[in-house]
Amino acid sequence: MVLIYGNLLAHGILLGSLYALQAVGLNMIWGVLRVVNLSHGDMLIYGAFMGYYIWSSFHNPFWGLIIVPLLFICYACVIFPLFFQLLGKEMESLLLSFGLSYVLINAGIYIFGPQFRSLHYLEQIINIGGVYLTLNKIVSSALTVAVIVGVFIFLKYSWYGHMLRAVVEEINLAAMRGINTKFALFIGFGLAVVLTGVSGLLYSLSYAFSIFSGQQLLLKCFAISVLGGLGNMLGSLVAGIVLGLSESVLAYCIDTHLAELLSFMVIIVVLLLRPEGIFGGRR
Amino acid sequence: MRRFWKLMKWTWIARVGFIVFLYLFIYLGRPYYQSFCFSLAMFATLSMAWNLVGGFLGYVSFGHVMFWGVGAYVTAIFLKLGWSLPPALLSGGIISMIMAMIIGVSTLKLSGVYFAIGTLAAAEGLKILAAYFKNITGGGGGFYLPPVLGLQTCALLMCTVWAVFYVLLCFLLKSKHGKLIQAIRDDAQAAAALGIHVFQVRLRVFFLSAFFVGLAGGLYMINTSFINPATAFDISITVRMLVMTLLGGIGTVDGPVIGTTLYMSISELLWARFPEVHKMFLGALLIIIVLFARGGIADVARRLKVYASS
Repeated sequence: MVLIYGNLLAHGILLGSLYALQAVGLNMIWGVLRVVNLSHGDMLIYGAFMGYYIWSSFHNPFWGLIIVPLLFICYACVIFPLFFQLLGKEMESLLLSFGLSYVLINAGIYIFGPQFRSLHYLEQIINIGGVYLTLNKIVSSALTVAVIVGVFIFLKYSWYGHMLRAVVEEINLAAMRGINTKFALFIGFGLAVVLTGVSGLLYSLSYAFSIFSGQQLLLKCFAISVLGGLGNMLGSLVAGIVLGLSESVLAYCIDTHLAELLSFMVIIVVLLLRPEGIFGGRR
Repeated sequence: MRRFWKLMKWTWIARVGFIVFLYLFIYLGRPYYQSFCFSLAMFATLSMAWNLVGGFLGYVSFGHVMFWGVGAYVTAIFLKLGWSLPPALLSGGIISMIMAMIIGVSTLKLSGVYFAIGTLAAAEGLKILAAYFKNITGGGGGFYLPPVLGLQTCALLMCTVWAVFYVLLCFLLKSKHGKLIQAIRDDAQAAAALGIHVFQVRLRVFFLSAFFVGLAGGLYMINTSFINPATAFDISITVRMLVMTLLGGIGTVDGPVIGTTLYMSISELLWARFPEVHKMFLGALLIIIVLFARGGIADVARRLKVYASS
């Protein structure tokens, strides 16, 4: 009995760390451009598909850690001007991201096909005191944690991070101090897009996905962001692990369908009771 | 003043003329045109309902399809229980309104972002729920009904629902309530300061919108006699409501109707030619409208008029 719960706990935490990285991308775009990027889930799935194709051609998906950021930076260069043009217009930018999501899904059906895909890489099973884990889950979670820590250090201590935070805090004042605000916002946006792609790649290592999974991943990311407070990075980290844990426990104890429903319940209930998120923060 | 009345008269002649034209088309046309008119009236109802929330309240809903799906399922279930048609349809609308209450109470007090995601999440959640309760909804395999009405009757009913909604909306927006709605859209804080109960008005408008979408869903169910979770909560229907409204002009009474007519005609041509990618065009169209023609056709026409008169 204890062992079962140990397994659930371990899987939940590993899944939760992946969710947390996915939510960080959504949260950063919200923080930078004040838009909930509704094409977030589809960007993730594109990253995952890239991982799949890199695996099937090079037999090592970790080349993707170089290729995916390059491709996603190109994508960010194309998309950023559109979002920048609508800066501060909440409704229009929501609609824009929704249209993008729709284009991405349907282009994806055309390019990748509607089947479920999964990678078979590092599938050795490791036994840690009775807890069985596959190596790919451990590796992808370790990479996730490394990426999150790297982003925090970048935002907190690097010069670009200071610039970005200054612009997000008070755009006019930052412009007066001679900061190129458009460039600063692009740094933030590009970083978030690359993070999204990389988190998709890491997701593809250990879970099956199809082009239609994007919608659900987006909603999970949003559930995490709402739970942790929109724009609150640390909150989304904790909330991601909470969601991953409760999903795996719920799937074992009751039903897998209800585990899928959990994130929707979280959104509705949290918005009803405590819209600023359980860890505080702004609305 | 006289010019105003002249303009009003022409608008009304155009509106009534369009409704009568649709009725005649259904009476006289072949089944293909009848089914086209059914879709036209249905999507006109849906996009007008979406416009009521998205255009007049300023809250963008990405899950309006859930009321359509709920209406379809509830009507089907009550018909199967042996209810007659009118109460089954009405209960579809009313249960959609109850759904709207649950979503609205939790999100209409917050800013539009939360409303957008709340509705999106609710639609996706309902899709999973509909697949989960197999003994009520038939699960993922879908729900069958024996045919109740013929295509022509269905199309006439749909057309009637649409016409009633259209006329109701025209009068509603001229009434005191309509002025309240517009005041809230323009400046919610100022409206609240004047003593308008902002939240209550928003909730009522959301109810009205959900009710008519539910009715349209019920009629769709009666027409096709089959529904499954993937169609009932299909996000592409929400996208179509959005695109049609934006194409015609968001926040206007006639915009959605013009947009629907135009869109349906274009899409009839498009999807016959490009069956695989026509949905992609939809998304691209949405992006183009948002970036370059935010007011839709109504706005473009007004700009042209200003340009011509200057």
